[in-house]
Amino acid sequence: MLRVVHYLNQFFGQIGGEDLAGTAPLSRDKPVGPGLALQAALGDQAQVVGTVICGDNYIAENTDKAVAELLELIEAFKPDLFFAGPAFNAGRYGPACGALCKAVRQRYGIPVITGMYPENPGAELYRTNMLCVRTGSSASGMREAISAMARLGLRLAAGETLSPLEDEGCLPTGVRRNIRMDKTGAMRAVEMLLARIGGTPIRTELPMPAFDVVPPAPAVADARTARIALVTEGGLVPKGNPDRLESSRASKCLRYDLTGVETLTEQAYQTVHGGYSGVFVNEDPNRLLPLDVFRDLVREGRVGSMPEYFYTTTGNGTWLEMSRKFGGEIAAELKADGVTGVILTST
Amino acid sequence: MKLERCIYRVRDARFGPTTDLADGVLTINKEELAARLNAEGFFTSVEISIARPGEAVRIIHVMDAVEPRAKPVGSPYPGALGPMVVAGQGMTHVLDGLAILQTGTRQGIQEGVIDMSGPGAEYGVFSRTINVVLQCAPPPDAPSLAFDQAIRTSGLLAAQYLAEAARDLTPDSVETFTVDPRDVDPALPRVVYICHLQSQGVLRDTFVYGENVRALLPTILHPNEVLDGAIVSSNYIIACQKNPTWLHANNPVVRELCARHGRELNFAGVIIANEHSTLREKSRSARFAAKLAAQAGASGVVMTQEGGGHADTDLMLCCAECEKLGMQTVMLINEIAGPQGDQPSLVDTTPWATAVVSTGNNDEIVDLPPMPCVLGGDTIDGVGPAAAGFKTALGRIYTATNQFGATAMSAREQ
Repeated sequence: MLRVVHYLNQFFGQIGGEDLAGTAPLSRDKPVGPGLALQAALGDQAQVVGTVICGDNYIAENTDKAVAELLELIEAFKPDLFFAGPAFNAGRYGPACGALCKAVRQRYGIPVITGMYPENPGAELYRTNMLCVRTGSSASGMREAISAMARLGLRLAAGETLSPLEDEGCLPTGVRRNIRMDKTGAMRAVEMLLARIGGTPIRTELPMPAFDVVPPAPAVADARTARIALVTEGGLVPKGNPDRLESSRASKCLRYDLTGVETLTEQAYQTVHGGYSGVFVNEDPNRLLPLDVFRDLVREGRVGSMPEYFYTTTGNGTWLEMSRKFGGEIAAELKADGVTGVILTST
Repeated sequence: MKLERCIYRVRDARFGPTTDLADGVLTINKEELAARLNAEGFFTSVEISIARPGEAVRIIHVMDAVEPRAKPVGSPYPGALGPMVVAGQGMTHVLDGLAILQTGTRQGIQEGVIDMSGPGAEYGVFSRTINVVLQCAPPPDAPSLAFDQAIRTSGLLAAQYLAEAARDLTPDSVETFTVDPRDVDPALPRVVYICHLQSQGVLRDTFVYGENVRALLPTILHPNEVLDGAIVSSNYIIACQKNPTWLHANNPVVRELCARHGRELNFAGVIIANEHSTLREKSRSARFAAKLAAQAGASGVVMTQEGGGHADTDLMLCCAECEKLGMQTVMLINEIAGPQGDQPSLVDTTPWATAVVSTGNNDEIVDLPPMPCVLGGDTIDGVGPAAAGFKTALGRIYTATNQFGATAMSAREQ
């Protein structure tokens, strides 16, 4: 029998109304309020062994502290499956359900399910951390929401692959997991095309991601007074790759000293980037990081100065979050060094 | 154009005194095979092993896979092996269920792992083939160009040598390919397949009839040419997403379109286009490939990719051009959504890309158990001893997210 823990606010937890929204976390060793419907929907496959309750204001005003206290209460129940809410369109309850789902999943790695109205701020804030049933805006849809949450929870606990989330009545999570289909990719592609040509609606397996827009920085006004650094994602490293920079999916960016280095020779530098043919770079690494001409420009006074180092990483299958981290670190260090412009060579 | 693929099913392979095929068992004279594939003496040593499905074997440093094939006259991989003839005609002997796996390490080649059993064997194509594993050691100072040429040629020579064992036998079956757009009901929708190849420099090249396609203006091939060895890979990118020679010659999209030709669609040809290094070239290629598809009268296009990153741009540009010309387009693409699956899956997009088949997320982490026998080397860069268990991104597992759609792998929001 699966052990289930359910999170509720003070209202649904039958503590009281707005006047008791400051209630500190507490727990019950049985289903409460909507938990009774949840237990009924779970049937004999799972048992609501605990309910944890917290006031909306208490958790909204000090989320980290409240979540830590709630986790301590949850620990005692040893859950296999966790439910929160549903929170409908409640503006404090939704983010509270989300924050707790995230924390429970991080600690226990168990399925976490909630329910919200799509415009609840908690739905967007925590979407990658929970499975969220799409509900109406008010508690009148309680019974449907609870039964959908119970059904999904049992399927997740059984390790089932879900249908496209829209069909499951869930909000998008933005979290992609590998799955196995009944047909090969080639068959699915040809069938998708024939359906499109025949006018049958199709559903893409990969909705296009949305990207941040990075506005280009304004031009350096006068290069003669600028301090300009060299940075590359082309996998440039000292020969032999002493720090083991990866050829793809880089886990680090590195900084190498250029003191006394006038030009990058093939004896001293190489690329480890796995995403392009390194032949031309390895013949003359200045082709990747233009140190030779840059030294000339500084000598001729056409560029004010340059720091005596360069940054490098491998931009090959490197996921966005890692790139964002590298970029932030490099930019902060360069800024601290008075750098006003960067030549970033990409491959 | 008529191609007859004479299929000889191989249910086991072993070493023995004479290379021959009897009752589905391929016996290989190891010394003769080694001598044949190292005819010019380039390699300082050649090791050959056999790995079968279900065995406790891990193959590492996998570069390419080639299907053993021979023609009664001429080369099964024309241009790349022997002189140019137009592929796709006459008979071709195929040892079915067998793959030559070329292994090797060199800066710029990315690790390919194949487990023959256990959870790793759930991924990719070559855990289910009987594999003849080649480990050819180049001279230490060999330049990349010479290494690349020798590696490619040796795999093809091995393939031809083994399939010659079937030359005088009766095939288990014969597959006939005779796609001709003029022979079918003109009301059927005309479909073109745009197959993106990746050719961007040494060790990043794909060869068509023996030449790399770095400067290719997109061109059109008959499906039979693809299925009969016109395309050979020398592209050693992230292992999960490369298109080996074996899969070019068994291209699942081509096979699928051939199978439905004359019934549900009219297969009007395969357009090959290169994934280029610069935006100028990408734009040129995308527009020209779309133009060729329109010229072939297509109302629909299936499009595949090799690799990822800026190759996404080649596909997105080409998709947009096809759609603008009124051709409905479906693309097969894999994803780089990060280990948690919560990162953007692609590096470029277009609003026209409304019909995409996902072949899976390269970055998802898999847990490979220890494996007592390792072929192709001993250690994996960044991992350590290959016989130990380790966690790795799916990226290392050979053909795990193959973009020809060779497997049922996909990814979905969960």
